[in-house]
Amino acid sequence: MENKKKKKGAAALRLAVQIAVFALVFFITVSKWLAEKGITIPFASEASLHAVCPFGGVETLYRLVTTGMYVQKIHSSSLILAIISVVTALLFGAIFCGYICPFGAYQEWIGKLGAKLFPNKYNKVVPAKLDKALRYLRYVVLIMVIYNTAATAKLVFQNVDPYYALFNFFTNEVAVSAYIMLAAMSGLSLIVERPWCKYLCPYGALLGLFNKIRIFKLRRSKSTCINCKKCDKVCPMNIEVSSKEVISDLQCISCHKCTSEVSCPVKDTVTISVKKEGAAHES
Amino acid sequence: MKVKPQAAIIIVIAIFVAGIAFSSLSGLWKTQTTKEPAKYREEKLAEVYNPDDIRGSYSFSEISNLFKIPLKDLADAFGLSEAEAAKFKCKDLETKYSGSKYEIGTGSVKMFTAYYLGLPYTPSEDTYLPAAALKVLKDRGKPTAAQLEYVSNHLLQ
Repeated sequence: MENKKKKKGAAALRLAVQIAVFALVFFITVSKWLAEKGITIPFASEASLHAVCPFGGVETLYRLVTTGMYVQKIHSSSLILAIISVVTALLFGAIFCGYICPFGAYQEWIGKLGAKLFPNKYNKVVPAKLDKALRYLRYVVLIMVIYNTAATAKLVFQNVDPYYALFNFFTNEVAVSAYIMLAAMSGLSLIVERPWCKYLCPYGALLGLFNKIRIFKLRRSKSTCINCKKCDKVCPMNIEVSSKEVISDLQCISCHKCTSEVSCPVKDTVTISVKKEGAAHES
Repeated sequence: MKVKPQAAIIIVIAIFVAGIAFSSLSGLWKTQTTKEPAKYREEKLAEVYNPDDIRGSYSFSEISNLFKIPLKDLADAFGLSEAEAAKFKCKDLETKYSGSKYEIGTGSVKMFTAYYLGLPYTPSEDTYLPAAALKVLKDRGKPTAAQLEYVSNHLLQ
């Protein structure tokens, strides 16, 4: 009973963080929009969505190093957030995607509806081979975005960015192509969990690389695992957790749904730790 | 060393809060344009503002003050009255010229400003200027011959 409560606590904390960040980003966008119309909300900054997006820090890197200037619409805040995200990724992998990214949360919430509407097909519709190949697409997107931003010094990604379209849908600053991408990702989220994260997100692609070198690794203890495969079933990214001892998959978003504190029914079996449990004794 | 998911996210949030607080206190955290463009890196132009750092949020009067270009010249080049130009922002050009074949926007203002002052600037291939800008550059600016030729081939008729 107490264990169930603890499990609910971990999931509730994650949801609370997701809702808080989503609300904060929405508030920032609305304050900026109102400020441009001459209405200032007390204590609210006039920061734009770009100013609080860490990916902007990645996009501007080349221009900053070569000319000392930021890409249009990007400010030092984006770069600072990008650096902080890298620090957190070095510690816990792509935890930004699993807990903080508001567009990830948005897809997840639509997915909950999809799972109810299509209980048998949800997150199982893309054939395994195609799915595997498509997952490399986000690296192509990452390279294209960085190259084109460097070449033009413009935020080219904004024209197809569903995150930007979601939070600016009420402004006149969104390109039609971004609205189309948002509609496509919203629709797809009903049958595929986090389609943007899996196949297209360039920032997730970058943060995912840190899963290979993160300090606190996600580990599965072979000795206590009962092979119930619950970890596989709950993984939003379809990672086969039950077949690994260290979950360092590039796609892992560190949502911690597979851990013993959230879904795994056996205590201390899927955990976050620096060293393998008992490694000191083994060596 | 083991960490629970709850602790992991609390650590992550703490890192974000501390990072933002530290950068704010040290003056590094900027979410808006400072209204002071970067200067050229070349030694010869080290004290000169670089038009390449003009932002969409800059108004024409701010550009006029920063780069010492008469507001009237900016207004004439982009088809505005002097009164309109004072508060007109670079990014508003995209709306003004929204039906055009080529985009007229912040890039166009950068190019005009640089060429008006005869400063080095490499525009992207899709940067165009309104036709009126050529006459302003020829009559009142200091563009190089190469810059004038480039503009002649990148005019929105």
